[in-house]
Amino acid sequence: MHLSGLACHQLGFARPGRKPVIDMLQARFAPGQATLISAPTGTGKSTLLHLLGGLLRPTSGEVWADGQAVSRWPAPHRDRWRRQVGMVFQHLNLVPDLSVMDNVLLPCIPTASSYTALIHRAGALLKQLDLPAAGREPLQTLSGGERQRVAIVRALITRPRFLLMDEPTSFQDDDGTANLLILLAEAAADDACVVVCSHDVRLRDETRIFGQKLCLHPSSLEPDP
Amino acid sequence: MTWHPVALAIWLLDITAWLIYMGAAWRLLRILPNWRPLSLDARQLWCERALELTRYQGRWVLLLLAAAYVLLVIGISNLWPSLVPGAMCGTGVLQAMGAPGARTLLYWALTLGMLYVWLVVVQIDGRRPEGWLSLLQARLLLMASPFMVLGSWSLAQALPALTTEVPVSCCAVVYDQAGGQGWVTAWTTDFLSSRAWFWSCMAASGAMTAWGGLQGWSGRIGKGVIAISAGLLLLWLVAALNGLRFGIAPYVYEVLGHPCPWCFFLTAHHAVGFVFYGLVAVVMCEALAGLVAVSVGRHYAVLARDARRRSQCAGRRVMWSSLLFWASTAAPVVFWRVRFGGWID
Amino acid sequence: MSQATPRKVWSPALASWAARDLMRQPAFTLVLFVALAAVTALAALVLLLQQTLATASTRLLDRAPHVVVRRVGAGGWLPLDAEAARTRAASVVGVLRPRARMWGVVSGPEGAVTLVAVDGRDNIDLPSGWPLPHSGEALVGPGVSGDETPEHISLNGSVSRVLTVTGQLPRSAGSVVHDVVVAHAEDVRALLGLGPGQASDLALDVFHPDEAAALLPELAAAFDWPVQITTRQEQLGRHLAHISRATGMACLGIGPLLLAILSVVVAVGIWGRRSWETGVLRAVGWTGADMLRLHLYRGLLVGLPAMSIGTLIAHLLLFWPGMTWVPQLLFGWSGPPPGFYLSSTGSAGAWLLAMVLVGVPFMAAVFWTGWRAAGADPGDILEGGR
Repeated sequence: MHLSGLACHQLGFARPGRKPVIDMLQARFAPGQATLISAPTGTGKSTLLHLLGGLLRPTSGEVWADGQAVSRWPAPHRDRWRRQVGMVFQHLNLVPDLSVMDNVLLPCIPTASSYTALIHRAGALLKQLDLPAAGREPLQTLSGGERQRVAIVRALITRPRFLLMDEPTSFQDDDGTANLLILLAEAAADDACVVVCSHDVRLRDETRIFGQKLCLHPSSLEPDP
Repeated sequence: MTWHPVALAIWLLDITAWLIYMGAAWRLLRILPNWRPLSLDARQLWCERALELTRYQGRWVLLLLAAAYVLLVIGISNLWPSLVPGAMCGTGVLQAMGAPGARTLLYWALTLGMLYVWLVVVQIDGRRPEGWLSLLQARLLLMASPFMVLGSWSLAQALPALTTEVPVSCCAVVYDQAGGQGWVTAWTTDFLSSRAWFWSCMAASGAMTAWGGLQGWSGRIGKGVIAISAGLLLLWLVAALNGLRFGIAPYVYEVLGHPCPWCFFLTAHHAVGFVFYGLVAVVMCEALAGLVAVSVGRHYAVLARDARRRSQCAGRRVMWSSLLFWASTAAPVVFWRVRFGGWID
Repeated sequence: MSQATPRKVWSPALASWAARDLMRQPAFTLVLFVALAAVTALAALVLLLQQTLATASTRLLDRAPHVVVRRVGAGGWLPLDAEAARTRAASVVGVLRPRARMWGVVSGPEGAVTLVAVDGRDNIDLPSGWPLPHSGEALVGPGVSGDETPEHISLNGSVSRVLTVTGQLPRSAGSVVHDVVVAHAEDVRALLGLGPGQASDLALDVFHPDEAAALLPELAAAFDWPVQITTRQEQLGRHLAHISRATGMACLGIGPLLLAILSVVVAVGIWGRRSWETGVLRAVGWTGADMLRLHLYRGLLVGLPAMSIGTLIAHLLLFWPGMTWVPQLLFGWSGPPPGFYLSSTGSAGAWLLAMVLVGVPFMAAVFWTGWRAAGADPGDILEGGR
């Protein structure tokens, strides 16, 4: 398979001793477009995103990224590939005793050569998401919605090739959702491969940003009716 | 003697290495019969993950055994002679240990060589994510087990044999060997004089340096390269080891006719043995690495570029190590000549 | 797509992050630091003590005769004919300065003392200017006399004698002369029950110490009676073996302490908040190598200073001027300690071994947690840590 973007080939995942969460899934997510995946709770949306992002390894099948079976790569190669992935988690996974800026710059610490440019970019993103002065604030002083926006900035700071988001608007109001959609459009225009998992009606009703809307079933991704 | 702190440290390292190795071996024995690289099923994915883990385990085993080996050499050469009556250097300690002592050194050296070959294969394979040499890695790691078993078994016999009660006759062993009672030594001492061994050591080191430089620059891969490298390595090894004992030793010990390899390690002689034999070990390991890289490059075209890079790296290391060896072994001879205006023989 | 990237061992950004990370758990870091320093101090103490005792034994025995010949019989030691023994020993090529010695153990006022005879200046080294004891006089060691030099000393052997104490042997040589009484040959002969012309043993030297072992057969053959011949190297070897055996067993005793520390390190690394954070770092793009380096830097930032301070503490405990606990604990001596010496190679070796015995298992535990962090799937860690 030599297709750009992300692809799943007979993808399966099961915890030991339990029935598969995902089984024999085939799907493709092209670069330069945003895909929305919706499904009832417990269907495995987060698991799918984790598999696509290389956070979990499938128990069967493969995940392909830009024509390479990255899920079967040894850890050193897979870790380096994962630097191209920006991820927003459903539970945010921000480090509570660090400041906002520290959380945002976390992905860059091992590889950064110039912090000035990164801080500048982080400031611009925070401003775009209505958090202009939050840089030095401890994370604990922010509300749930603000923390979610910090998580989004953390995912975008490295200009990822693959942007994966799990319920990114669960704590956002309409303005926040609108700002996020602008960022998604910019990322897609940058030829990133964007995949969003959400059952937010505002996103399902959005027609301009998402080139593909799918519904997740255990063994398939069907177009969302 | 088994209670000596260094002996305990060696045991600790050996046992830890064994525990890790057994974990790896268990995995490898389950991986090898079930390896199907084209399959996407759960079993194959488990095999791939387990193989990845064994790469880390193998590295740890190599590190621990290398540390144990160095400690063993330090113990034999400098710490235990004062405890064994009649022992003045490692020769006496090895005499007290009996045959298991020398066997431990040999088997562990072979184990380390085997593991280093494995590591080179892992390094070449690790430059690409596809894992072309997965099965080869697995087999190579398992092949180290017989040497590990023999090494640990010999160690278990050698260390308890070290006793403060039974005296040894350290120098007599060396002179018996030099007098021709050992078949290898008889061949070497009768074959060339000490000055001839010195010059052959210098010439061989020069040739090795040149060859290493050439490989470091070109990194050629071919059957001819393997043959030349292997032949040159063998020649260099014979010349270097005998050159040290018969050609260089008189100038370091400032005594004619004392071909003892272990006296080099004594602090009285500035422990130059660690430098000399350390460089010999580096040259051997990297020459071996070069051979492995060339061989991998010949058999796996897709890895030819990475194998060539490793071969070049090995060539450069061989070049610098043999150059250092040449310089460090020539130094005492030159120094003697400058001081006294003549050769010691 | 080849993913080969240049390997970086040193990363200033990661090192600073590691330092900040340690400061986020100040209590644990401090406890770990103190525990490591303590265990290292203990290990270094044992090893430095071994080294210093070995060095001291070597230095002292360097002044001993190369060979000592004793006459033995069915019941053990027997006195020998001094002149005959001297003549026979002198007949062996390579033997220098054979001299008969009279010495033995007798009862003193506070326990056994070692009685040594002097008979002419060339047989015994005393600080010049000290008068040799005449008949009825004695020089006593610091352990015999205590803090105040007594006027008389009562000794009981084959006979009982009361000798006048004319001086005290120097305290700085206490490790050798602690329980020694130096007396005139006549008094010693009587106290030890030696007949006229008899001696306790024969001491002799050789041209080169390494030749001593080679002379043993000829020496044994030179005497008409059974002898036990001990070389200096043999005696030293027994001392050193005993010291190293005791050290080894002491090192084993440190094992459980070390294991406790390592268990805590591993447990904190694997479970709890630390594990979840590892998952976050992996999830946002830190590679396994980055995680290993982070753990390595954290381990080194705590471990290196702790172990350095530990070895320094051990060194001070042994060698700080006025430290008397070692001779009190080991030898039951009061007063100034005997002269402990440490060679530079010996101390370097002891320090290095202490760092290895403590540092290697500690770094292995740090690596183990780092390796688990590097090897596990970030998704698993995140879900497990929540």
